[in-house]
Amino acid sequence: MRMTNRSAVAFTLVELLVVIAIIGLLIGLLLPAAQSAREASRRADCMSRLRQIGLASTNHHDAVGAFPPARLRSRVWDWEEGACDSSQPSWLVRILPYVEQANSARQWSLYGRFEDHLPEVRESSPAIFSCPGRRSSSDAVIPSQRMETKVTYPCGCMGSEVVNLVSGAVGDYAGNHGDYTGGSYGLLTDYWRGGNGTGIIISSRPKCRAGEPAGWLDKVRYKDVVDGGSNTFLAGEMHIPRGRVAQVPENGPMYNGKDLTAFARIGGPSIPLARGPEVDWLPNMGFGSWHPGICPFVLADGSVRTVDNEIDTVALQSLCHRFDGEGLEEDNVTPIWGVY
Amino acid sequence: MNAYSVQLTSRLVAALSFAAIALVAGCGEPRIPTYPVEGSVKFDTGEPVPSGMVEFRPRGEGPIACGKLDQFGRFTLRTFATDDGAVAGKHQVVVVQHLPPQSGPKAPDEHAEHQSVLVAPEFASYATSGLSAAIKPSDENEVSLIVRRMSRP
Repeated sequence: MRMTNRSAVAFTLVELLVVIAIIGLLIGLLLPAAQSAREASRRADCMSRLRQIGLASTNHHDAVGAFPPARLRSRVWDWEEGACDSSQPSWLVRILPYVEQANSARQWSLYGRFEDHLPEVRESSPAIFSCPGRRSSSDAVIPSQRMETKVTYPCGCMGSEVVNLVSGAVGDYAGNHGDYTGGSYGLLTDYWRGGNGTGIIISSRPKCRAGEPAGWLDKVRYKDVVDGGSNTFLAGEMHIPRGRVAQVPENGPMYNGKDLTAFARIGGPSIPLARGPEVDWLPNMGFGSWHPGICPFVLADGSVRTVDNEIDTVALQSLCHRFDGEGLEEDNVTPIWGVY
Repeated sequence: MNAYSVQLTSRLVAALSFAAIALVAGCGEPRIPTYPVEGSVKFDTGEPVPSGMVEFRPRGEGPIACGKLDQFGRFTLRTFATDDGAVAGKHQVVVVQHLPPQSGPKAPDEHAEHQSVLVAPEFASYATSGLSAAIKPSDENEVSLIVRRMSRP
């Protein structure tokens, strides 16, 4: 009788174990679901910012008559007439008025040099230019510093250059500069020179007046997007290897027009989408996200889509190129219905 | 509680934990198999191409594979992970070089000292490169690629 009484008021060890096992099982079931829900919300957040950037660029098109130029860059040698470009602000400054940043936009001079602006202007980083999950607000600015960067020359030899870095805000989104047509061979046909880009946000030649830029020449308008706005990227998340966030050269100051890869990227053969943050061996020129399996892009028609990281590089090239006559294949791109 | 019910309960616990582990671990999607590939890129005059990238694109379905050239023109392909090679089958190949954009007042032939190691641009496009390779489903694949030098405009 005493035994029965005791068992009525107390747990046995086995009962306790069973309860713990069941609780453990429930937590085990819940954890991956919670993790993927957190990742899904981060992804949705990053994509909504991308959509704002896309809308801002199309608003710029409506107001100014063309998509913003990635930056000013001449297509002549640096000592020739027509080369008055240096470090004039990038396209992200030009769309500031359309992302509700009219106040900081007023403090910028579109044809002044980046380093001539006040530090608080250069370092102001609207939340819309960074992707949550990749960086905290402390990683949104690079301080001024004198630093050595490694350079690999075509001979395969390594060298280093000392750079005086001017502080500035850094971000996660890059305009679509096109593909690698023209290459980068130290010629006037290089893809990064004014008007040579095949994307939407391209380097444009400056209009020079008395040796200073006063306008820009190569204007990409909707009529130049021959493949159609729904077949051409406008901007996307740029690839930054883990541990290189807010580091030069992988993630430099995004308003400084001198360093193209800080605010515009390309895609195509030899420049695939990076398949995650661990990829540190690709040239620092392409797109890629830290979201598992996909990279979000905003297209020139303003829609946001995710692209499979393993997309064939020729398909990627046709999405980056605005007049190659190729469009979307639904296998590679997942439309996001109902989210936006 | 008798011995039988203890045994039953512990079996239940074991089954539950097994189910939990199976659920949490999940079933990973099987990846398409890749086979190790090494190779070299040389100019038609015999010297190695000391910098650049190679990209292998399967003629059929499958992911692309990339490799970085070392100063001896050697590369090891990767698809999903370091040195895991490429999928089996016939591939189209491109050889691409990326020179860092240079600025500042320099002579037009700013890369003059590098001219002898530049690959002709047609090898950077699948439409014009004409390079191909066959990857066998074996542990050793060696690919030799021959390219031409860039002619100065």
